[in-house]
Amino acid sequence: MNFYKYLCQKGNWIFSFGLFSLMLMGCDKNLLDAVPTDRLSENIFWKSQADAELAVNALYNDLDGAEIFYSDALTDIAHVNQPFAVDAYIELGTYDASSSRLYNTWSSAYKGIGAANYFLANVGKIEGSRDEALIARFIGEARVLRAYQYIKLAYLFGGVPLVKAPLTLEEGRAVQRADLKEIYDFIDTELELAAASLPESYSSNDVGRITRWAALGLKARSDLYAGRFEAAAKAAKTIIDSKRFELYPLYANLFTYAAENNKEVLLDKQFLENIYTQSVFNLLAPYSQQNGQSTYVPTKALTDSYETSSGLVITDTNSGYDPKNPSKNRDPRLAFSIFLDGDPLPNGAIFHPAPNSGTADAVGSTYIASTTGFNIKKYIDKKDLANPSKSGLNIMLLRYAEILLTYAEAKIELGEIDGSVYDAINQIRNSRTDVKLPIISNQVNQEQLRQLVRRERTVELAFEGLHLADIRRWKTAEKVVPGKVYGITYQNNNGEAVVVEAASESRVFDAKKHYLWPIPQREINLNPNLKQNPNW
Amino acid sequence: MVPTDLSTQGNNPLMLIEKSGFKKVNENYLSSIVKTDIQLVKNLLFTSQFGVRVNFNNSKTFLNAFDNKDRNTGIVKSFPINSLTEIRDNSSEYTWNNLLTYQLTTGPNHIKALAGYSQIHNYQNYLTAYRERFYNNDITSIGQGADDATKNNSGYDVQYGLRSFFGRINYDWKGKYLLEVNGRYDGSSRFTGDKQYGFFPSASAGWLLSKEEFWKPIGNWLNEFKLRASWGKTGNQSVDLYSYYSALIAAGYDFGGKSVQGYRLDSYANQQLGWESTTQYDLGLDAAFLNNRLTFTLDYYNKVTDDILLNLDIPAVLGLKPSPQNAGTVLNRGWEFSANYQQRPSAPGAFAYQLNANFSINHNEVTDLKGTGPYIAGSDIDPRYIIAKGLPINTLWGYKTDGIFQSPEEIKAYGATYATNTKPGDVKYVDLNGDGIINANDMAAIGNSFPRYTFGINGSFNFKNFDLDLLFQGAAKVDTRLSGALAEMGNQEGFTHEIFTDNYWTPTHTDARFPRVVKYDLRNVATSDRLVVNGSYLRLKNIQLGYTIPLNAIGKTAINKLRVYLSATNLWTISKLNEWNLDPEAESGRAVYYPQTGLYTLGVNLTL
Repeated sequence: MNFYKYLCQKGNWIFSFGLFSLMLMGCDKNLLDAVPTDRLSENIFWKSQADAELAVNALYNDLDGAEIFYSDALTDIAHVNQPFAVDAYIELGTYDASSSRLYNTWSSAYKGIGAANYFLANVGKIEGSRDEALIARFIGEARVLRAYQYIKLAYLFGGVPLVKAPLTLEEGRAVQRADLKEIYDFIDTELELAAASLPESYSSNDVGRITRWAALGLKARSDLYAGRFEAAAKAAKTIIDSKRFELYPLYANLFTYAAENNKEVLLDKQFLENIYTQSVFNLLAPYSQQNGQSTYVPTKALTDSYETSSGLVITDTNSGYDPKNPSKNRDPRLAFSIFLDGDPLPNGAIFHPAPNSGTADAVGSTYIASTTGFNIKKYIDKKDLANPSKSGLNIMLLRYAEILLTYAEAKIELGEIDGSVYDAINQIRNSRTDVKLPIISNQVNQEQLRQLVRRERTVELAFEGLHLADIRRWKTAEKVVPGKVYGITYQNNNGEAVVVEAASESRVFDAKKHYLWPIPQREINLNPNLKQNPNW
Repeated sequence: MVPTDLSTQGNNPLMLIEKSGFKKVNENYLSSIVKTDIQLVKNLLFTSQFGVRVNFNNSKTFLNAFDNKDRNTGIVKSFPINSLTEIRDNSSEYTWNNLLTYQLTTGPNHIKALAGYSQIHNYQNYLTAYRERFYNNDITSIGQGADDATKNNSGYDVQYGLRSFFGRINYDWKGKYLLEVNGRYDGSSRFTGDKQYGFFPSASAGWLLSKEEFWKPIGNWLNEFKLRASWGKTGNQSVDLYSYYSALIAAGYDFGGKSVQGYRLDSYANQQLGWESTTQYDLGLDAAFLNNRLTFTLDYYNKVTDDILLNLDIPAVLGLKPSPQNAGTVLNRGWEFSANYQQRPSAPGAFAYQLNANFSINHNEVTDLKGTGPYIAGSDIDPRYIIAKGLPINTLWGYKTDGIFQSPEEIKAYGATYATNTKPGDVKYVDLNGDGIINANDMAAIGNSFPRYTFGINGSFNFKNFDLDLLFQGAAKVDTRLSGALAEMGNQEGFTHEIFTDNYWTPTHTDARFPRVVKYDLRNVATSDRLVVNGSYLRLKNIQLGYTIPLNAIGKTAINKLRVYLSATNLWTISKLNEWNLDPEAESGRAVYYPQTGLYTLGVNLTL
């Protein structure tokens, strides 16, 4: 106080001014420690169980949603409609390690892995009251979400860097590729560990979280991809024997809002209209439907794979197949999965894709309309017509039909063909109300059954993002991918039946290198320890 | 009313102008300064200045709901939903500067000293709101849109601070010896911990030889001669805010039809981030001849930028977005030269002129990347740049080529080709590493993004009542990468440049300038030296011819001076880019910039 008195008595205003200046400096002593109010500091997070739940919720963002659709278009069953799209170069076999599709797939998978690693490295920090079972569940969810990404990376790139904990920049620049076996071993262990701590189901507010069955189902998938047929069959059998799952009665509705969270679903990406959305309608619908983009379209190779309603392949002379009217008398899943000539469209109009039909969907009418004349019908729900880019339709990532087919395939490969194998296949062929194909009896040999289950898998799961992995592990890609892409059969103006040829060059598949994608060049540039895949 | 030529590929800009809605932007700011000068004691002055600046910016973007049908093709473009996006972007900043200056002249000594303190604090608050489905396109207030899940709002709050202490001493002795010493100590909120502050000293010295006794014998022709030397460090802190801050961002999801909140780490927080510093030394001389009519300046500089702040890729295996890094060291070294000659009129109205020329050489090189890199950005259709040790920063990167294949035999003998089914008319890419495959490992430096030489000439001439001004400028040893439609040769159904017309390879036109056209295929348009054009140029940037009307010709008036002039800008350019209709002053990339205008002006200057 004496000091202030001195200032006032002397009227020494110069010093007062100086003091004012120091005060101003003092008031703003946090000037250089600007703490943002629009994001959450890591230092205040990871305190309570609620934080752990918030963090595990965010991990679900890394599940694939509409991203599942591109991969089928790199196989025989679908086609990248626009020839200048990034995916088209992969389809044609003219891509290299600089393709942005490769990089984006790689980086988004590692984004999911990194997020799970971050969660697992920090969840131990939480203090206060904690429900150990719940924490164990969160950890299980994170492990499964991480394994989900590794399954994808393994079939696309082979042995990738096995990152199990957060990396520093320096570590990231030096990681090496693991053996493929190491990746599959890791996936196996992780999913088994997780399955032990995950619940069998959730109450309504948590529907969509990872269950024990999702963990086991992914394990069945991973083991099938790895050729570990015994383990695959075992995991699938556990799920079948649980009797918790059944095929949804109407295949026609399986991919609509009506069937969300039905008893066939083991894992899906959950969406919420207008809030947490996907844009599948805009991505896949025919052009006439709110400028639908027809980004990926089905091919004749796929439609030819569907049996006729008598359960025979179309090349069978007794099949009842009519080349002039190919969609007649066919496995009903054909019409449930693909828009065919004469189908009603979401807006009530009728789909007429023939080049001479004069409609907006006519082949060649615009560069957007389907170039094969087919459009994907799965996940195109009339409800999304009004808002085609803000759909809330859940996208299934693992459903019971796949489990049955995985079981059957694994058992067939093991040579253990018994009644349970036929039962699994026949459930697919005959147990739904709207899919009634003749059942398969036990007079079929291993090779015939192998072809049958592969065909079933191809048509049942078409456009669900699984076929690329299938043709790679079956090693059939070199046979089915090369060549031209064909589409619908229509009557030209002279009344002749003509098959549409999609306007693109022939696809090339080089068996020496195309069974694996190259490691993205961008990643190799940053980390010379990453060795490129053979022949790239 | 109804524009035609609608296409399914895009929207007619005329339709968008007429029917798509409006965007209104308001930018207001208030600024005020309080300043005081206090003479503390003789020769010692204290100055304090406090300034505040507040910005209020807002914008409204309303997109109409409308249909538009092309009368000719029947194509209908439909925009069924109208929507409003409203933005408030407010910021405030105060700056506070305090200076103590001291000046003293005693005999031949002149001393000036300065010490100061300054701080800046900036806050920004940003808010955006969205609603859609308004009753019609005339109801455009945010509260009138649909009050449902489609409404959306978002925003952010950020701030930054900068605190600096600095001082300077100038000394000169009889104006012959000059010395200056500077130092600043800057702290930035963009960095944390011991990286927050940086010290940046500098010093310079000059010697005016021509003021020395011994200079007298040559002083009549070399009128002035000065040697200069300087050394200094400067700092740069221009990185995104909070790059060091390890933070989680909101990332919600939904379960069972209900949204849940979620948080995740988004970017790699670089806590080691610090100031970029540039250490520069400069040696120079100034000289004047012929009674100061001819002057020269020559400088040599060497500039080393350490810890350069760059947004570089980080390995994707980290799973996080990159943040800025103190990436490495970049060298800039070169010469600057300028000369000026002035011929004054021997009598009023006689011929007089002034010529000025400048020329500079710059060598740029990345000398260190701390063992990382190279960093390659871009794609085939857009320029591909590399940042790598030993190369200029952002060097153009791509394949080398060796002409066009003319026959299947030639292809067979050549070996490695870009596409498996290469045909005559395709480009010959060079397999630089000789491994039999053309891939990213065969790419090399194919051009400079920045010129090595820049120059300019300015001349002004006066004769009687006429005056003429000319400004030439140019650059050399610089390259431009063609991109977008100019690179694609129309292979993606887009438009092409007329340069391709009848000038691409066909079996009957084998000496064509461009390769054969392959639809939807990159084989002949992959990033290569074929897409790099020498960007050197010389341009008559400005020319002006004036005539001052003799006032006695029009009698005595209130007018003091009356001059009419004709001027033109960007009148004439020599460059290889001319045939591509590209501007040599623009960067490589898609030519989406607003073109420079050739401006012709006829004007009158009037002085009362």
